Amino acid sequence: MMKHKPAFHYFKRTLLHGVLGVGAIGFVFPFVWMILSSFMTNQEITSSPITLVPRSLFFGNFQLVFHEIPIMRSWLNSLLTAGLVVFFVLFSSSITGFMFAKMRFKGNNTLFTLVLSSLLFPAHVILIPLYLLASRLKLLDSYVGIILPFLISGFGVFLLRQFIYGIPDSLIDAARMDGASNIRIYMQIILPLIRPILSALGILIFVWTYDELLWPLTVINSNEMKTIPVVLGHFTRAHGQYPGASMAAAALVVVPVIIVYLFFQRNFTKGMSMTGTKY
Amino acid sequence: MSRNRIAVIAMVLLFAICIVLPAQKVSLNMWMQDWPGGIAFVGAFNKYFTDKYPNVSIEWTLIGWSDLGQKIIPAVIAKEEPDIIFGYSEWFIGQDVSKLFLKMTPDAFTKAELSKYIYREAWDKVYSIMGKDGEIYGVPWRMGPDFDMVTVNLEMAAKAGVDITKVKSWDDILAVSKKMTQYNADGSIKVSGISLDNYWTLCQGYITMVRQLGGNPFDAAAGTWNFNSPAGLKAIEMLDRFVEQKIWDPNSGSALDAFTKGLCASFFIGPWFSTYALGTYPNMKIDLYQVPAINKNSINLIPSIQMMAFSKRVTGAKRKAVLEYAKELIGPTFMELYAKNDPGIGVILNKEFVENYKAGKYEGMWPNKTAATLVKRSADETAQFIPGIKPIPHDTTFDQWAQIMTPEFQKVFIQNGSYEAFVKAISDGLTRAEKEKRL
Amino acid sequence: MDESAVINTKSRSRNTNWFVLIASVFLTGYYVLISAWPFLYNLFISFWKVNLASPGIYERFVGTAYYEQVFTDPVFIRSFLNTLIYLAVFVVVGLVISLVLAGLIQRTHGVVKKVFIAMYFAPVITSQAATALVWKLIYYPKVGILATFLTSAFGAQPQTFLQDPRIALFCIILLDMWKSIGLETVILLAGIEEIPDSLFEASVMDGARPFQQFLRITLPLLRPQIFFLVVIKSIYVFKVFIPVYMMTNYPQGGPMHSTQVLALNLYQQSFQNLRFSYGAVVSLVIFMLMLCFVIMQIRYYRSEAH
Repeated sequence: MMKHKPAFHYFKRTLLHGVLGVGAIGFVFPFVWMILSSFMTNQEITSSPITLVPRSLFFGNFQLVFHEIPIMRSWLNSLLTAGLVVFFVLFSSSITGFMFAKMRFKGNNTLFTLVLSSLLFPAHVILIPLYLLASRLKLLDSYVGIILPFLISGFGVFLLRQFIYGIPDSLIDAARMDGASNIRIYMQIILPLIRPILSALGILIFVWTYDELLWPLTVINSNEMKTIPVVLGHFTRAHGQYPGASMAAAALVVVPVIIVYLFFQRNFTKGMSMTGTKY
Repeated sequence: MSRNRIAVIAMVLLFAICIVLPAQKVSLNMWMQDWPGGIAFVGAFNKYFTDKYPNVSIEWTLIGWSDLGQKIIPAVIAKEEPDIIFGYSEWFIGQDVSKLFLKMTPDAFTKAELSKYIYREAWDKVYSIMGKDGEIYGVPWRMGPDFDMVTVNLEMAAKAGVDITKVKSWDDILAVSKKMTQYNADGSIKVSGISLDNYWTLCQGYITMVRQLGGNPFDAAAGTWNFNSPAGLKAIEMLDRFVEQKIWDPNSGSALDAFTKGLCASFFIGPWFSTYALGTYPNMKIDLYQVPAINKNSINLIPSIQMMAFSKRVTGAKRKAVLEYAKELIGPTFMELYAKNDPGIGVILNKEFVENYKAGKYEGMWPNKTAATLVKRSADETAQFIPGIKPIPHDTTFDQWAQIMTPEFQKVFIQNGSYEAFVKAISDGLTRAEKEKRL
Repeated sequence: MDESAVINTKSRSRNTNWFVLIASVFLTGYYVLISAWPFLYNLFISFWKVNLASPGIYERFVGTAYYEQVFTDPVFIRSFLNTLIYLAVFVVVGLVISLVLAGLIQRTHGVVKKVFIAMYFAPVITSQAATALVWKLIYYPKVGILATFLTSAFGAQPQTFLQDPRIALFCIILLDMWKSIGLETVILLAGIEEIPDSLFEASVMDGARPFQQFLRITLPLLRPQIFFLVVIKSIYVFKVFIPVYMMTNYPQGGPMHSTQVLALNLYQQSFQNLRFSYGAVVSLVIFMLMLCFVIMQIRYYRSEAH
């Protein structure tokens, strides 16, 4: 062990914290700016020299947001559709992950590769054919239509298979010896063990589905069914004229997620770290 | 009367009631552009219509402009389009409208009735996009020539001592804009006298300028564009003067942005954006002046035509209601409601309305002076613009023009690129796009 | 084996067969719906002209005409190059920064550590559309907050960021990195913490300094995580659309095509210009690129592992 004076340790520690701290503040700053700007008038935001803190709390931006776009309803739509997708994805990923990891059958690898290759298609590729299909099935402008392309996620299947590989075969074989069916094994052995990865996957899928723009834009026509990113698009085009309102809209979208995150933070990062296991 | 007869009459009456009553209620759905002015006047018109035809109800869905433009054709393919579609003709350039929408003539109105309503000169253009084989497939009511007017911040004009009513030539535009430009201490531009940064508009404007200078850039037979002519070069040189003479800072951001933030004193864009600005910043004093035709050669390109089209899948009572709606659209009532609710009209196609206006029939309809000014400007612009309309049968859309020409403009304005390179690049780009459409 | 065991094996495998059958049917069915059919459809219309006016909208066979159009289009070529640049910068620079951060954070403890992780991770879970709006304002030219900061702190010229064709693309990449570094750092951090302390202690005996430890011990053991991240990030880059779409003004991809990327080109051609066949060719190009890239990565990884 090298010998260092306590002061040197202290110095190193401060340096470390300092560097990380500056970076962290830089990372968090856009959110702070977003909240501050949402209370500034349009003039204040774009004036020079820069206004960092609003002179007084201006609520006009929020009023404009609530007036111009159906934000509450869109929120509900986003939450609902993202929630449904998360449920389906967790279910489908774990079942198929279990199948690929622990069951031997012909075509295991082939099917798996096929499913993975679905990741290679950008949304635009599937947009038109899927739109035509959805309209023939009368699924346009409905929750089912919105969640249709997201029900099985190649990413989820991949993660779950990797994770379930790690579960000792002995557990499963023992259960099989006792005559348990696969469904029973899934529910009583696998599910409890994959909780952490499920919560990590769930969070990622939730965030990604919440953020989907292209497909909802295509499939939704009526105002009542719009999701958040679609509704925010209203402000990109008018962005120059309403910088304050676009910040207010962004704040309304981002802040609740951050608050939830702060509460469940430990679970988030713990689950997240499980995504990078061995291959 | 014998009991039999009474019974028969009663049954016939009952039968008639059973058929007629349920068939009376018609519910139409509509896709409408999501913008306050439009919501106001179309809403007013829908109310007028449903008051006049109480068995019809209209429900609309509000959709933003560009989303609406992208949804219509896929919806028609998927047989999901609404009964009434609000839109703009540039979305249908190069498409076969007879396959997309309901035919209007002669069931909604005859060609004779229509010609009472649309100016003859405008008819060519409307027909070339919304017509096929002599029939028309939509109802147009205005055009929005974006490059035809300059919107001016009156406060800045007054401060610079500028009288915009005296602008009669392009040199005047340069002079007037130069006066309104404000500079920083180091000589850089603080406030641009005029902004050209609305490339959607500028592309159309450039082609118009080339034609006004006597050029003929499109060869319809071969489907090629060629701007490599004296006219093509002169037009870009004229536009570049605004940068060369330090009147416009091409890095100052989009025109509407800059205008509403006080970073430019005027910009090339027509009436409908000025009402948009007015709505957002009601404290701004705004006025417009006409862009003079070069060499008094008034040839105009077709701008975007605001219109409604109807689903060709409607049958029975719905079809009847839709045709009635279309017929009501061509009367002056619609334009009156439009002008009352959103005065920044643009070029008006409804002859009757304009003639009524000139005859003073609408005296006092706009107590707000700015609104009254805007309507007057629209009427003046109509008189100037319509006679010069000479359409070009291109199949490429305005979006494609903007995508192809904007970067080349930017190379000239920002990077001091050569005019020869500019005309060559846009000739190649537009020709290739045109060829693809004709594959 | 006695009889009951034999019977058990048979019923086990029958049970498994049913399970596999049903699950596979759903999986394949869904896969065909979401991937195979759209792929074939795109392949079809890349060779077949789509004309809304003809019955069924498919007009005639045009061979490789659309392919020629696409590959000789300067806009497409530029979008291809820009996507590659995006790939290189986003993946490599992002990974380097995440590695450094992970290494640094690993040395902190307790509450401080949790706070740092929370702060770096926050951008990951926020909506991309919303944060694009915020960053667009931060990048406001000349008088915006970042411009002012740079001028006052480093005396730089007031930058126009998204309007400067030389740096616009990098500004957007910066936003994307800000959004994903947190996730990468957390994954790498978990990987680092799995490394047994004994390895480090042994190296200290040999007189290794922290930086050497990092290079010789940590990095090689992080291969799985790094591989995973590189693949996921690459797949993401080929599809990147929302940041570019929301942060550039109409016509998107400016200024002067400096931010034009493959997915944006696809969107513009398919949906703004309704040139579905052109878009189909571009989407096939994207697919092939991603496929090649991923295969290359997997081969490299497998060979290195031996």
